[in-house]
Amino acid sequence: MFIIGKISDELIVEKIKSGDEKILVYLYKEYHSLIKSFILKNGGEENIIDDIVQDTVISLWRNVQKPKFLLQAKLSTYTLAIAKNKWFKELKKRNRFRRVDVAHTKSMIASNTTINLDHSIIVQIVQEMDETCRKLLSYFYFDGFNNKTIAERLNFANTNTVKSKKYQCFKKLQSTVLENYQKNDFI
Amino acid sequence: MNIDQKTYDLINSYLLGELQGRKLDAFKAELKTNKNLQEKLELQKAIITGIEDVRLNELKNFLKDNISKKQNTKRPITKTSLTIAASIGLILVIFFSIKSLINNDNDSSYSSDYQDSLKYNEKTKALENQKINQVTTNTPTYPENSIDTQLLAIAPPPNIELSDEETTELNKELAEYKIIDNEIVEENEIAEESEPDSESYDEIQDKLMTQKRSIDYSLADIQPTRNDSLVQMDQLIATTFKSVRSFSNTETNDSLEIVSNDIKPGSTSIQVTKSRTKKSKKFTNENLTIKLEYWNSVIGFNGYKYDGNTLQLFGIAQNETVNLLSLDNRLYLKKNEQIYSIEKSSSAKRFTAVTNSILLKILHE
Repeated sequence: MFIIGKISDELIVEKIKSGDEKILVYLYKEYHSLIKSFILKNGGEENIIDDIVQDTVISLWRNVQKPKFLLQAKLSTYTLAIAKNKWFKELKKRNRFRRVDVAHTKSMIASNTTINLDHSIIVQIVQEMDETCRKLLSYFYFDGFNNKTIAERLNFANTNTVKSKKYQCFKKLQSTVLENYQKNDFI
Repeated sequence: MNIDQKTYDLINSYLLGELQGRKLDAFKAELKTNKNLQEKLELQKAIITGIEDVRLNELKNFLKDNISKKQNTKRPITKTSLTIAASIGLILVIFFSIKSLINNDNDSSYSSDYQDSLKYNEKTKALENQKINQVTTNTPTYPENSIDTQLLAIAPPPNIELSDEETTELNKELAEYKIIDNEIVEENEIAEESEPDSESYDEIQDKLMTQKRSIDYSLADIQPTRNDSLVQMDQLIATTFKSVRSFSNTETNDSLEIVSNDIKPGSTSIQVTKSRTKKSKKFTNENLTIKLEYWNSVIGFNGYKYDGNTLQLFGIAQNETVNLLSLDNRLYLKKNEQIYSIEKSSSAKRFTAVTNSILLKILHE
């Protein structure tokens, strides 16, 4: 990490939007004690803290990339709100919260009847694909970078190149996935 | 299941929430009826989820790597300290290894030259025996050719073969050393010396006595030993037997009265003593004999140890004139007109000079 001292919320947002991954390490360090304090006060254990902080920082990274993102509070407050959601989700997973989300369950059943794909196989195919394609698709689908940022990061000529390349990479990936499945895996 | 770019972009827009209004309604209507579109949508969703998972893991690994690197770089001082400590340890190990090698070299040279030292010891053995025979007489004389046993333990330096002339020169130097030592005693510097621990000193004495008896002054029996082991022991220089001049207490008191009566203005104490000697025989020879041992202390101790039969003297050379006096069953040592009281004790004591003028007058007679 090459960031020394405390940096402003605006600069953090700017760095996230420009896709500077080093800011993730700064955010992790900056908000670790804040999130840790919250988790320990709410029935959490030491061993889960690092994972929650990690997920929180990555979620912040993704949210800032969204076009709708608008920072209306302090970044620490916003980050703590994400951490709270992550921790409550974790508690739900542990069945500490006994509420059953019927609608969510129904939708899950419905989606499972629609497609029956082995998720781990897709992950493996993605990992093995061409690096530029993998990065391009990751930047677009996960990081939410716009075409301009992707072009800069991957040294493409312009945004049109990004658009066409993105389609080609996805098509290739889809073909590879389909080669690993039979037709009856789908509806 | 090929997908064209238009469908791909449409599904992307739907999944990313970018479709709005009529476009969104149209897509939903199409999705309800078009199974092919449903398949494409499901497949695209599954692939996008896969891409997201891969990227999530990638970022998590990036964070883990960088945070662990930070934690590692947080402890450069500890690492540096460990490195320095290890370096110092290594240097010490090398130093002691070299030192031991050097010592081994010295030992080996010592061993190679040990024959020379044995020759030297054989030559001095005769001298030593001669010295012992001489000091067992009542008239102790310090032989010029005698050699301090403590110095005998020190092997001659390597590659130096001592000739007879060199041996004689060495002995002369040793004799001079003795004379210098005697001068120090004469200057009455005994009281300025620090008193050694009597218990440890006794232990050393016991060990020394046992060793001396077992060795019996036979230098041929001395095993090759490192210099620093034998140098630290006291050495018995000589043994002699001395008769004690005894004084009668009652007669002395009487004589004191006489002395006081005889004192005249202007007369000296020596004259008084002389006149008193003529008038009464105050000391008699009762044939009391005490074994006198001359010891050389490695710690420079000046004093004595008296057990009733044997008087061990430290810091006094055997060629010095020493007389023993007894008054009221108390023993006194007279050396160079200085008189010291000798007390019976199991531990070593320092010389205590007698300061009582009346007692000194009596004892000086």
